[in-house]
Amino acid sequence: MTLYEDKKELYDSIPAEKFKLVEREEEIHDAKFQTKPIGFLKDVWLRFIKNKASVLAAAVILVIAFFAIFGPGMNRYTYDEQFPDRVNMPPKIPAIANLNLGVFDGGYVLQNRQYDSIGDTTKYPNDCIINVTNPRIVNGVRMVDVEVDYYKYLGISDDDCYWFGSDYLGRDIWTRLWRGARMSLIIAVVSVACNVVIGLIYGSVAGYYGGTVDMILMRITEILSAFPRVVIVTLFVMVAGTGMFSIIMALIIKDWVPTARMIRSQFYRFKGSEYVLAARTLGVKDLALIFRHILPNSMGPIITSSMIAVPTAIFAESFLAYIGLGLQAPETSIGVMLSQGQKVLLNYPTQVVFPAIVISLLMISFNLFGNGLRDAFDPTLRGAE
Amino acid sequence: MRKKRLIAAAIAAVMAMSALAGCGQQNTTGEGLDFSEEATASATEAAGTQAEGETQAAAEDPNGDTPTDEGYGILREANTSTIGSLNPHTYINSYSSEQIKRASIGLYAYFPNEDYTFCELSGELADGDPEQVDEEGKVWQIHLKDGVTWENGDVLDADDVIYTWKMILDPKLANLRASNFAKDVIEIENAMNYFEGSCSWEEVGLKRVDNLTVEIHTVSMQDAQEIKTHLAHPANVIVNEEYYEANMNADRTETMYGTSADKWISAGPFTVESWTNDAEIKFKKNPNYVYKDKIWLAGIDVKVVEDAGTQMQLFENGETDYISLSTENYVKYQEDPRLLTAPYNSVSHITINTANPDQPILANEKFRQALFFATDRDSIAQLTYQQPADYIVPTTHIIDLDNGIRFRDTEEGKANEYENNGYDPEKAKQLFEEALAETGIDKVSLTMIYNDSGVQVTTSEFLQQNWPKVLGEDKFELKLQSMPSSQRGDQMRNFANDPTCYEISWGGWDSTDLMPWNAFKYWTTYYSAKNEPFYSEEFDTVFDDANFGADRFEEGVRLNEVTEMEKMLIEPAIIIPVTQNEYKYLKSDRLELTMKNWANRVGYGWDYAKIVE
Repeated sequence: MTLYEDKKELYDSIPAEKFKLVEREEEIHDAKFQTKPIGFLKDVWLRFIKNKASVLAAAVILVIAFFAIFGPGMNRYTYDEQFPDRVNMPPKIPAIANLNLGVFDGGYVLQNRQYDSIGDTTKYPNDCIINVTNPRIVNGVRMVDVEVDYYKYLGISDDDCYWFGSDYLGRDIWTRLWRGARMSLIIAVVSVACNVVIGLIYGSVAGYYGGTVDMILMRITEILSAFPRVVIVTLFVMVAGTGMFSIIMALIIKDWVPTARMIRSQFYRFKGSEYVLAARTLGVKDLALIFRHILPNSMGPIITSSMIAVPTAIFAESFLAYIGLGLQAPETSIGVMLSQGQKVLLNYPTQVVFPAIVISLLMISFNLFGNGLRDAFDPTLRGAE
Repeated sequence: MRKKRLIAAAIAAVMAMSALAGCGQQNTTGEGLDFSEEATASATEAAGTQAEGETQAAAEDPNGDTPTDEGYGILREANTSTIGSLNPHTYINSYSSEQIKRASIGLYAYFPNEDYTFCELSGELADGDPEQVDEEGKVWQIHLKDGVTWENGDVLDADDVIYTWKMILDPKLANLRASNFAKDVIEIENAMNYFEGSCSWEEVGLKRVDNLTVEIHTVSMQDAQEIKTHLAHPANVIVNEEYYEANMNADRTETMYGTSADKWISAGPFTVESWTNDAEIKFKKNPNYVYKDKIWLAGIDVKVVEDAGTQMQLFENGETDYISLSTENYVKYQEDPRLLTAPYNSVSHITINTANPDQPILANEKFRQALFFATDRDSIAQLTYQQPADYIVPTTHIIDLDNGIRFRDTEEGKANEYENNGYDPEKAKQLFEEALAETGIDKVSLTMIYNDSGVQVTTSEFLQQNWPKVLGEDKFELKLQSMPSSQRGDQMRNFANDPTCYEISWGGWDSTDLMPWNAFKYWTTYYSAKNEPFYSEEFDTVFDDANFGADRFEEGVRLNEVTEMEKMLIEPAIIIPVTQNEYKYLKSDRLELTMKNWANRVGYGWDYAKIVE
């Protein structure tokens, strides 16, 4: 029974003139998309900028990169210029010092000073004393802690300020820090780039050809990854000597293995797909199949994993520097600065604080940035937000 | 929610600001500060110092008038070094030797003198000075004190002494310290031959005369002072036969003697109460010690604390009684009235591998002199809080013991020093140009190996920038290669097998400061652990003459010969002296030194101090 038959009387009661024929006059089309079509990268970008933390991280990386490039040239000091009469200076930035916030004002507490010599202007010249505290008698001598403006104390003008202080040879920490960040970044980026290239070729060959080739290649990577990383890296640097090249090489020795494995698994995923089969049937050569048809699918994971590898490389370089296998003096890196600063942590904490902040920011930023990229590149998350 | 966040942010900001800025009113003149006892007590509680109030001064000395058998109070020390072994025949570092001396008896030893102002070399196990038997001064008898015992009550007599000597020289054990015993201040007849296996023990010039007398036959004529000095070396303390044998391996090539508390027995000022290797060693006063009346302490606890910062914290918390300050901590305490300084017994110098075929310019005398004059010792001293040194014999060395005259105070000693502590950039530049012309080299690039920690880092990095400045940045370059100190030492001393093993590096020899002529042994041809390939017959002749020559006791002879030897090393810049370091100590009030000042060999005499708390 049809709908009409069921309620025949009701439908018949509607007057015929209320009906209108439409089909015969107008053609019916699918509605046009109101938005423009977007490509894969654009889509990635759109999803990436939605992740606020990643965008912030990218900005921080850009800022640090900016300072790493231009920071060392921002003041009159060079990274290796020594001033034996200005060692371990506290940080001072005149503009901030004038705000009286108690930071970056060149203030330093001279501990355990004899109270009786406070009035001695040869010892404490130019009204350098900011505060006198902690009075006590030690072996019958009146002792105090004297907080001074260390720049006035040594008779150094504001034009010669060390923004982040100076180290044990009177070298400017600001310049050294950014120079160090530059070195750390170069080491990290170059070693990661090399790892990606090696891993990409190795993984593609293993994944594409499979079978015996894959078996042999993968066993080699397993042997390589069986050795502890720290041991290999340390031994390599000890044998090859310390220097930028050998540190980069040390970070390449076995760090390409994860990339190779990841690429291989991507190849296993795509090489049996219909479109690859079609291309193969049309007579496309192996190399073109590998690099033109299969590899682009893996770009997302490659970019993501290399972004996450950068902080690992920075950390590895710092570790090497920390155990005394870093760059040779006077060259510096964040690791070298941390290693030196840690020795005087209790007396001159700023020498370790600034490099520590920069390395922390770099690590966090690269990780967040890498995570953001991973989510953006992951097609399964498309439209999930 | 948003409001809460704002409040939290505001609180965090305030906390951060207060942490950064500090708080309270500022006092820029120091006027009106409260130095009363209460204020001091509360302030020092944080700083870890004890106030020396009147009440304390008036309190009775808990030590009494003379030391008791048990002693009073424990001296607490912290040190970065560890003791590998207490075996005097195999120990490596000088720190171990200090601990060995604490728990051993020797024939002779250095003690504080009667008024505690200087050291005195006198018999410990020996009863009086050695006695000359022959006319030539080559046979000496040493009488032992009667009734000396080990800590367990066993008698210590001539048999123990002879056993000790036989074991030091044992060819199978091949002890590190054997050659030093065979020939140093004195040369014992056939001792080296026995050690090398080419003669029997009966032929060695070490004899037992009776139960309490031993006899030494020397190669050259000696005097009593030399015999005593030789035997006072910490490597020559007496070992216990029973324990030494019990810990010997089956083929008699190694003994575990002195590697743990139960493998050690003492006859010295202290006994080893407990010993956790690499962590802590506890000494206890030995009531059987011959000079127990010189020891006030009940014991000494030595902790191994590798980090200087932790050591400082222990001292500030009152957990150690004195501390040797690092450079950074010295800056903090330089005006403290508790600060004690003592000169190092060595001069830190640059060693040069003159025989390196890769760097022929190092063999050029003018080039080495250029480096000598290009070294800005004053700036280095300022950076590292040391004393500039353009000399080799340290300020501690005494040339005339009877009159207490230090070599550096003599006219001859001063004549060996240069103006401006040997820093003369113009002369350096000129010598450098001449050296380049002589060798036909255009540009010099040297590599210096240095320790990866301590003042060597600062000094090496300073020279890396300073030398090219003086010599010309386009013509001279210094590269640096850091490595752990033990690795560096091994690499340097390998120059005989591998002449290219290093180019320049660092050195510093510690030696007996009462015999500056003996301190030059490190540059003689026959010294076994040389740092640099310096071989000079002329130098050896002067050395032998100063140490063993027939006329050496005549007035002025040794002074001239020491001056001559120093000149022979400095003028052709065989080594480049840079600085002489200084020990900086901080001592708590709990510890009262019996020594009135620092003195050679006994230093501040920590072992003879009193605990007054």
